[in-house]
Amino acid sequence: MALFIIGACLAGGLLLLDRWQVGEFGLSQPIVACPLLGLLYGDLGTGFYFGAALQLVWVAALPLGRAQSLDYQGAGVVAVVAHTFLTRVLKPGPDGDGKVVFACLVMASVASFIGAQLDIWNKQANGHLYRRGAKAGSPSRSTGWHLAGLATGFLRGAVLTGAFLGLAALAARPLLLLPRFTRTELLALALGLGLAGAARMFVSLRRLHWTAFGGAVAGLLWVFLRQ
Amino acid sequence: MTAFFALLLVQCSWSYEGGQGLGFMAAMLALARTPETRQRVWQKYRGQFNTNPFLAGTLAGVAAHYERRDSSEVDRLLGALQSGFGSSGDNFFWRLLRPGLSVLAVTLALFRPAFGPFVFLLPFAALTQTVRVSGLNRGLEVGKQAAVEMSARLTAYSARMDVLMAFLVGVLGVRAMLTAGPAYLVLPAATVGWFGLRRPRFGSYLLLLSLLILLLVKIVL
Repeated sequence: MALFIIGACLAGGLLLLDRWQVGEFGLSQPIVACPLLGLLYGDLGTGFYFGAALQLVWVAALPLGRAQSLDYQGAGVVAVVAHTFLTRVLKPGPDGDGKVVFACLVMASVASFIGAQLDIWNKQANGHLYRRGAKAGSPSRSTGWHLAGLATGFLRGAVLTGAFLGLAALAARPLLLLPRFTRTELLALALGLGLAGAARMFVSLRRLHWTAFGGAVAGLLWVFLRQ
Repeated sequence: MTAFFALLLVQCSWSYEGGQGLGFMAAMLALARTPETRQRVWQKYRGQFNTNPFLAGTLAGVAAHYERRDSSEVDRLLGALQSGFGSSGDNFFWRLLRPGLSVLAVTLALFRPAFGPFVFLLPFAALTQTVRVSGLNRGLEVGKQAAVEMSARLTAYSARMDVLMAFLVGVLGVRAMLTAGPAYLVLPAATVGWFGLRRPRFGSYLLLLSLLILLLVKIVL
């Protein structure tokens, strides 16, 4: 289990560097990061599930300018890692799987806040690097202070993942007392919120006919594909 | 190539004081050809700098173009372009491209789960990194003309994407209800979310609240 925890912190730290420190290729987005972690832990189905459920919940949380957005990337990583941990510890079986998924979604939403706060501390710590880099005696030293930002970023992701693994360990036994949930019910809730966020962003009276057209196309496709 | 890698890391030491200052300096150092230019660039670009990370390449290209010719223009140009590029880049990449591809990827993932990651990752990574590289090369080649072209292109794409996104939300709405089965949960969540998501931070509160309500309903029933 110690190996799993160390591996999860490393994977979380590395994946979450993509949030803003390295490249921003999109690897840390829940729809990509969750299946990647699912693949790593041999449960691709759960990875796809959390990816689809969580990608849209924070669709309206925009990282615009200097505003601090919620850490929805961290939320995705926490959800899959905590699910793997809890499944290995509790071995819940089909009846208890919904309880574990429920707990992981709760942890994911809390992780989005904690991750945002860690982001603020990360940027404050980078302020020290900036001051040192700006006063350094040579170009290579300035670049060295700049690259030290990779370490603070990695640490941020690893700490977030590790902290929620700790929380999952504490919550493991009590969550068995929860009532039974199905994955479909929980997916429906997350998708409903995602749909609201997407509609708020893109649907207006002026473009409502396009939305209706989209709905009609999806309905027709469904009917056509079922036949 | 070194400049591209430096641009990939442009935000790695982002801070409230300097923004991408050190990252932009590292990219400019990678573009400097002679030790003298390197020293001059290092002295000059250690200050505060902030723009959209994908468009930092264009600005680095434009700045390097004038550093190799007439460096007196650079300060004024960068000052004017970084905030403009910051807002137009954020609008295109974060307000349209990421949410748009998210909607498309989740919609397709509801048909075939394996489609989701690829439909998001491939276009997002390809487009953002192409903008980074092509903006850098074009900026080095033609200077401020590259910034004008990039800005015009982003505005044109933004207008088209708004319509596409409205269409996709319709597709997602119907698909989500058909897939998730219990439409009685999708619809209340979407309705509450519509009114609750006045501020983007509320996404987390609403997810917690919805889960709590579901838990209470389960306990009571």
